[in-house]
Amino acid sequence: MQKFANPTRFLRLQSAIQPWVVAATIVLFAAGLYSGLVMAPPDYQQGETVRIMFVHVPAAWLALMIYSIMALSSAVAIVFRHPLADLAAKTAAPIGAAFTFLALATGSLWGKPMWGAWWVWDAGLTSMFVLFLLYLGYIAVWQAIEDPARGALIARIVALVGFINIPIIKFSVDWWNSLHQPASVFRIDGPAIHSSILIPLLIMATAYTMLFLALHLSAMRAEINARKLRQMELAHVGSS
Amino acid sequence: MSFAAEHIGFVIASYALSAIVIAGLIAGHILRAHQVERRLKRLEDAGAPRRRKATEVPNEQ
Repeated sequence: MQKFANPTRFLRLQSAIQPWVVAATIVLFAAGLYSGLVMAPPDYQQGETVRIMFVHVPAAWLALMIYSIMALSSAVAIVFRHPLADLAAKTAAPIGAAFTFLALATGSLWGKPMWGAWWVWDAGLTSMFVLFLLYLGYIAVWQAIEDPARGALIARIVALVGFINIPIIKFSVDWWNSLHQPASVFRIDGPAIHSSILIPLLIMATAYTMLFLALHLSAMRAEINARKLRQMELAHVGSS
Repeated sequence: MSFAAEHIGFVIASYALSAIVIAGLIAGHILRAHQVERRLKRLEDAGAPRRRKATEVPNEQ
């Protein structure tokens, strides 16, 4: 891991893999949308509204995964002092916030026709809303604190403390009564949904993951360059 | 997919919202990357040192 601690080496690696990640994202989205909107049958109970699953569930998975990556990066920054770890967490946060917003909004659009309500304050939905607030809080810490070292320290604490919420979201639908259905893909006794729905869902989830990777790599590159720019501007001002 | 189905508006709204948010994310990332690269190039053209040593880390801490 320390091998990639050097930003120059990271930028070289990013340049090499970025086109492949973008190409894979486009192909997977095309395949996922075709299989989800054309090939998959309507559900016998939910009808066509089941197709909301193909944009809602991957967004929700990504929301949890990205926050976990931020917490892991923060832990790596504390333990190993990896120079890119804070940068990885910082640049992942806006993407995670966008996916969390999408999970909440598409969930609401799915809930209205299925439950008869746009929103209910049950454990699953509320803990997801708390995750959205945690993302915003994390972003606000970086924006609000001028001293980057102090900002990084507080941001790490927010990421690690907020990680407590991740298992709560994952298991809330099993632990408490909720309008939200229990886990139907990642279960000990296997997925509870038919392969005609499961396959498009997994393709879309992979497409979302590749999209995150493409955006994250690009954002990390921009952040490294932005830091380089600030240092060059300071040096330039100092020398002139 | 049948466009005459019940509640189809919710499906279309979900996909449209997802497309808008994802397009916004992509556009934001591209714009920021171009903006930073352009400012870097301008500064380099103005005579600022072109490269850092490979061992140095542009870390703000």
